[in-house]
This record gives sequence, structure tokens and C-alpha cells, in this order.
Amino acid sequence: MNIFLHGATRRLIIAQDKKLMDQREDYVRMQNNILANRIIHEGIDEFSISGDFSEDSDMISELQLIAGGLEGRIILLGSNFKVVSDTYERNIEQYIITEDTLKAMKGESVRAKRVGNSYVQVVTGIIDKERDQSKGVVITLASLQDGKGAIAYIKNHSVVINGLFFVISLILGSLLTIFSRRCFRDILKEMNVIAEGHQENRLSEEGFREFYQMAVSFNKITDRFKELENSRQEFVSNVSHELKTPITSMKILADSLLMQEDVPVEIYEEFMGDIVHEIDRENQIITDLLDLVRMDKASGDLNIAPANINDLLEQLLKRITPIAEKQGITIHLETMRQVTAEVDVGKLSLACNNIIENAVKYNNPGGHVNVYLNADHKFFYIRVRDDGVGIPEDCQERIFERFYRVDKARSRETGGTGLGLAISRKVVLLHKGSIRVHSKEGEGTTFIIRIPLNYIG
Amino acid sequence: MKKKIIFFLLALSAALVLTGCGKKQEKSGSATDGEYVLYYLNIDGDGLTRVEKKLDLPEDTEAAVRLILEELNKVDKKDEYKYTKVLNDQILVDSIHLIEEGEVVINFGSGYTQMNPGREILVRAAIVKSLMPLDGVSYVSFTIDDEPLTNEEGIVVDRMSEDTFVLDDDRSEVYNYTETVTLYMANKTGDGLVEVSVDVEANDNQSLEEAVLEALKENYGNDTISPIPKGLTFHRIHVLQKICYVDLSTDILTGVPGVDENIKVYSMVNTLTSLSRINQVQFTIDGELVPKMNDVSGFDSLMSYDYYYLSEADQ
Repeated sequence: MNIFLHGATRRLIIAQDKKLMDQREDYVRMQNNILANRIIHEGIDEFSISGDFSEDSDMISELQLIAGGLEGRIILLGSNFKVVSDTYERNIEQYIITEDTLKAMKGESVRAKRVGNSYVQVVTGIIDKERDQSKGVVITLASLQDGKGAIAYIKNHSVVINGLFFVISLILGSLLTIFSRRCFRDILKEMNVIAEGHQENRLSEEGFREFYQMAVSFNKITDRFKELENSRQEFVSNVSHELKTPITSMKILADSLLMQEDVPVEIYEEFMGDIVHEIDRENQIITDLLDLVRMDKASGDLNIAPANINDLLEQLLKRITPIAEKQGITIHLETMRQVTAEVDVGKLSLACNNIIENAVKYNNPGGHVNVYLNADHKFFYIRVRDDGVGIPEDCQERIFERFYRVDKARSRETGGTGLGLAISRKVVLLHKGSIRVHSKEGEGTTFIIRIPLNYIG
Repeated sequence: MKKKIIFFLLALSAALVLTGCGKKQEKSGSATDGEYVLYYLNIDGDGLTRVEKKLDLPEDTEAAVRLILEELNKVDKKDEYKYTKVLNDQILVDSIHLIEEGEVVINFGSGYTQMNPGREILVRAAIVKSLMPLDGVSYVSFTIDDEPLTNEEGIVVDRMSEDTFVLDDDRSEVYNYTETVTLYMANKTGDGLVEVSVDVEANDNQSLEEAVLEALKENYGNDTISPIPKGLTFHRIHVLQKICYVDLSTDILTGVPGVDENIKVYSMVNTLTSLSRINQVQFTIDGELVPKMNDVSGFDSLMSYDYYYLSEADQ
């Protein structure tokens, strides 16, 4: 700010100076014109300084008076550029042939010039308009002393002014720093309380803009942590619950077997079959969980390699189609073009498998599943559409959550762990892609997966 | 805290650096080495053009002058749009000869008088300025048919030198001036005046009177003391009809240690009146006439040179 102020005072001085010079120039030009007319009227020789300096003619005194009034100097040139008169009596017998005097002699206007620090030079031609003759040139140097007072004042006092502002900004700066530090200290105190474990606390969102925004962002972070903590707790309780369910079933089956006497072998066979079924289920849950956890931990451990997506999908459908047909559901694969992309084949297959299996599972006999593959120059798209039971609108947001099931009853029948879509979503995200769902209850569901053709690490 | 101190120091030094950025001094434009400066007429013939050329100058002054004049009489085809030659068929150089003191006399044919006065002065300036850089040339005079050149009024034109013509060339400046003057300083006992001869510079149109009075504030050797207070300001100095009017600041009332009041005043009076164009001096203080200034009476009168105060040793 001080540098700016210094520049400002300088500019003020320069501007004042220029204004002063312009004012003087106008006044002097007028004087010159009056003098020029006098010279034309009296003849320039009347103003000539003779070699003898003991007597000064009236005209010369007149020149000296005018020069005195301007606190400067007047030089008269004759038509041959020779100095005819000089109130300083210095440059007598000299010829002054400069760009300015040449212009003035021709009757052209000449810009005023500054001489040193104290004088402005104004050059005017002495033109006899009636006879269209140039009689000579008037060179006037006028002092800029008068306004010097104001400028000198500013100059002298600019040091003081600058000094004063320096001190003021020093004080203001210190005050601002002290104030800021106090605000920081208050916030820090509150943060420390939270850091020590009182996680329910929040920072007070008040104070000046930056401090307010800092508090808000900090609270957002802690909120997210709380959310994470909540979902972790929820996850753990979900997992325990899911893991326990098959075991509970097994226990019931086993207990009931043991409780009965003389149970026929067919009953044993039936119950054992159910128990095996539950064990398989448990196994699947654990496998899926492990997959999910593994993907959470090692996001960088994708096995990326160029793969033919058409082949990938064909393989998948080869396996699923028989199962689908058993339920009376037809699957149809449509590929618009050959798609080669950098993907982790295993994981992507798993993701698509889960989605296609869902399309089959949550469908009615005689239903259809369409799998559709396309690509542009940046992404490839897999669309899985079914005309099955659909997903209610208020549940569509939550279907990717772990263990979430829209209709618990149905899912138990159809099997499944509730982790399928969570896994699919995780895989898609690892590939830096996106997954979206559109669904209408009773009409069907469409899943759209979009994945970049080239893997961006 | 340390950081704050460093920052403020940086800001301060930055501010100081910017104050230092004042006006750039104009470079003086003398001829580049090895090149010679000639003056031609401009295309319209109503001004002069400065031209730098590489010339192989002979040792002999007369021969060199001839060479220069020959150069002024021709212009290369490629430069024809820039300037015109000074001499031509009308202005024929008849002969050249050198006389004492480095004066060159150039004799022209009668065609010279046919030139219009406006052009004639430019031709004169061009020739003189073009010849001045030569070592052996200090003065130039023209003759026409062996008769001295006269101007319009019939008066003989004096021999011309470096100072005769002032052009835009930076070496010749209208407003800078140096003169050898006599300063009247106080003697060691402060009761008499001592004459000191000094070259005083009055630049940027400073008046000689002001330059001389300011010079009294300096020191000139061990035998003299500066007779006036250093803080003394001259508001106005003006010469009219051989009287120099000097308006002083009130600093005139301060005593100069070891110097009498009368000496203080007459050092200024004698110094000014020894300039050719001043006979008397009148002082005012801040615009007012003051009859008595400290011990000095008649301070408001017209004062003349006074022999009384000259130091006995000089009388």
C-alpha cells in the first residue's frame, strides 16, 4: 500500500507540474503575441541591444520589465536568426537556428518545452500579416517558481505523508494480525476438544467469512466421518446377521432331527439336503464378502489388460442362459460392434454376471432379458433390460447398498446374499466407470454400465 | 515476529528503490567514432540536416577544408530524398586560404549574392558547422570576389566560430553559460573583502546574477570565508536599467560566524556590480524594503560598489 501511495504522490506531483506548465505556457504565449505586435509596430531595431551597454533604450527596458514579470528571459531573433536582443545580455551576435526557431520563423506553432527544472520555453514568430513577412522570433523563458510552492510543499511533505501512512499501516497490520490470531486460537480450542474424542461436538459456525467457511468445512468432514462410522457399525451388524441366519437355520434343522426318534432315512436325507443348501449359502455370503472387502482394500490391484468385451458377454450368457430357460426366461444379446477395452476381465465378468442374474431372478416366467453392447470413441456401454418386477422408486437409491433387499421375502426364495449389486458397483467404480438404473414397478428394470475404453490409472 | 520484520524491511526497501527512479538523463549525441558530422540543407531548403559520414581526411588543413566543401557539394543518389547539397552551381567556391590563428577564408564567386537571405544564412551555418570539427580550424570567414561578406544592412560579417551558430546539436546549448567573474569573499578576520576570480556556471537558463550570488556560498581556499548564510534564499533577482533588484529571505538576518554584517552585505553588492551590466543593487526582504538590517543602515537604498570594504592587503 505504501508503494502505491508513493506512486500516487509522485503522479500527483507530475500532474500538478504539467498543469502549472500549461497555465504558464498559455499566459506566456499571450505575452509573446502582444510583444510581437509591438515589435512589428515599432520595428525590431528599436529593441536591439547596441554594443554599448551604458544606455538602455525604452524598448529594452520594456523587454526587461516583461521578462521580470515572468521572472525569466526574453530573446529576440531577427529575420536572419541572429540574436537582436537578450535580457540576459549573454547570447548577443549569435545565430539560433534550431527546429523551434525555424518553425516559428515560418509562422508555424511551436510546442512549449521545459528548460531545466525551473523554466518553460515558448517560441513565437513575429509575423507581419499585412506584408506577409517574417520579422523574427521571440523566445521567452518563463519561470515556474510560483507553483513551485505547491509542488515543493507536496514534495517536502510527501516524505511526512508517506511516513505517516507507513506508521498507520504498520499499526493496522499489527492489529489485524492480532485479531486473526485470536480467531484462530478460538477455533483451535474447539477443534482440540473434538480431536480428543468428543466427536458429537461441532465447531460454532460464526465469525468472519473465512473462519465461518473453515468451520463449515470442518464440520462437513466430521459429519462424514460420523456417517462412515455409522455405516461401518451398520455393516458389521448386517454381516453378523446375514452370517448367523444360515447357521440358525442349520441349527434348527439339526436340532429337530436330533429331537425326533426313529426318523426314517428319507427324512434325514431331506434335512441333510437343506443343511447343505444352507452351508452353500453361507459359503457364498462369505465369498462375496471377502470379494468386496478385498476390492475395498486394494483398489489398485486391478488386472488390467486389453479384452474383447463381446467375448466376455458371450461367455457369461453361455453359462446363464440354461439357468434362465429353466425359469422360462429368454436372454438376448445384441452387439453393435466389436469392442476391445482395457479391463479386468474377471472382475468385470463378475459385475455383469450379478446384474444379469438379477434380471433373471426378479422376473416372471415368459419374461425377457436384453443385453446390449455398444461403444463410442471414449466409453463402452452395457445395457441390461428386463421386463420383470421392477424396483419401487423410493428404493432405487438404496439398491447398491450392501445387504439391501427390496423384498426380503422374495430374496430368500431366490437366494442371493444382497451383496451382488454392491460388488458390481464397486467393480464399475474401480474401472472409473458409472452405473445407473431406471426402473418402473411392474414393468421392468434397466441397468446401464459405462466404462472408459482406456483405463485411466 | 521475525517474519514480520523481514517483510516490512522488504517493503521499505522496495519503496526506496522506486523513489530512486527519476528522470533518465538524455544521452549526448556526438558523432559515432570514425564518422564525421556534416550539415546539409533539408529537402525543402528551409532547415538543416545533420549527416554522419565516413571521411578519409588528409593531414593538411587546407586540403581537408577542400574535401569537406566538395562533400557539401554532392549528394548520393540514394540519399536524395533525405537532404540537398549546400553548394551548387550558383555558390561556387573560388579559393580557400588559411591565415593566422586557424582562420580559414573562403572566397566565393559573385553568384553568392544571388541567394535569398533565408537560404544564405542556412548555407553559412552549414559550412561553418561542418568545418569546425577540423583541428586546424578555429574561425571561418567568407569573402565574395575577395571582398568581405556583408549582411543585409551592409555591415561586414565578422569571422565566425564554433559559438556563432547554435543548432539543435547538443554540443551547443543556448541556455548553458560559463563566465569568469570576480567574487568578493570575506577575509579570515571577517572585516574585509577579498577578490577571487572564479569560473561560474549558469546552466538551464539560470541568470548569471543568481549563479554568482549562489557561488558566494562556496569555499575558495584557506584565505577566505564564505560571507553569506548558507540557508539564504534569493526569491527573485531581476535586472532593470542597470539596477539589480534582489529579494532575500529572512535568513539574511542570521549572522555568519566571524563575519561583519557590513561585509556580509557588501560582498553581494560588490560581486554584482562588478558584472558589466549592473551598476547598483537594491535589496528587499520577503518583498519589503527594510531601512536597517541588523547593523547595516541604508539597507533599502540603491547600493553601489564600495572600495571601503576591500581588505587592506588588496588595496
